Amino acid sequence: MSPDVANDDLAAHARRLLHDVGKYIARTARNVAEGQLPPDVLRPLLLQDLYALDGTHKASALFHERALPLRAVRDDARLDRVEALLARADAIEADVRAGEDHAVLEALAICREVESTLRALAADGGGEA
Amino acid sequence: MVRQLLVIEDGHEYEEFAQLFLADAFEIRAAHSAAEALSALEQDEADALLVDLRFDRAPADTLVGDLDEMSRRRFGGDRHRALRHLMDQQGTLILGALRAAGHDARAVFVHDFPPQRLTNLCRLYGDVRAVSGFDAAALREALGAESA
Repeated sequence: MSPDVANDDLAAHARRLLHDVGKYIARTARNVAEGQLPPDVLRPLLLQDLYALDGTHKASALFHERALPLRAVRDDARLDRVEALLARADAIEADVRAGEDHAVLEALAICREVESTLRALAADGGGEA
Repeated sequence: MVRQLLVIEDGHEYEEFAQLFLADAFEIRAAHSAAEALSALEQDEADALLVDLRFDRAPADTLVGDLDEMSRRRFGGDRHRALRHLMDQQGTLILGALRAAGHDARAVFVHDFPPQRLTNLCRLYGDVRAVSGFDAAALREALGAESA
C-alpha cells in the first residue's frame, strides 16, 4: 500500500469514528448549556447517546470496535483519552440512569469532550505523524 | 401549513433527534434508502431534506452507485474499498438520485464538509447546507424552520 493510500485510509477511519461515535454521542449534550441539567424529555436520549448509541451498543463498545483500524496504524493519545472517558461513562451508568444530578452533569461533559476530541482527530487526518 | 421534512438515513438517530427538536416546525417522515426516499417524495413533496452521509448499516443492494464501475475506475479493482466508498458517500449519491428525479428541496447534512467540498455539492445539487453537529438551533436555521 502506498503512503498516500495509507494516509487516505487513516483519514477515512478518523472521519468514520467522528461520524459513528463523536457526532451521535453529543445529540443531547450539544443542546444543553454547560452546567445545566437536561429537561426530562431529553434524558432518554442522553441514555441512548451513551448506552445504546447505534440502537444496541454502548458508545464505549462501538468506539473500541471502530477505533481498531486507527490503532493498528497510529498511536494517538486522543484515542486513549476517549477510551478512558467512555469507560468512566460506563462506570457511572447506574447513577446516570437513576437521574443523579452529579452523574448526569458528568455524562454530559463526557459527551462534549468525546465529540470535540474526535472532531480534532478527524480534522488533522486521523492522528499524529 | 405544516412544513414537511424528510429524514434520510440508514438508522434512526436523525429521526429520533428530529422528533425531539424539530417536530414543532416540521411534519417528519423518514426513509432509509434512495428508493424509499423517492417513493416518499412522489407521494408528498418535502420542504427540506435531512440527509445522513454514511450508510454503513444499509444492505449493499440498496445502495446508489455502480460497485463494479467504482471498483474498476477508482480503486484498482478492489471491491471492498469501493463498497466502503459508496457507503461513506451514500448520502450525497442519494441526493444526486433525488435531484435527477426533480426533487429540489433544500438538503442539509450534519457533517464537517471542507468548504470546497460544500461548494462542489452546491454546484452539483443546488440548495445544500451543512452543520457540523446535532445542534438544534443551527439545524433549525439550516432547514429553514424559522420561516415556517
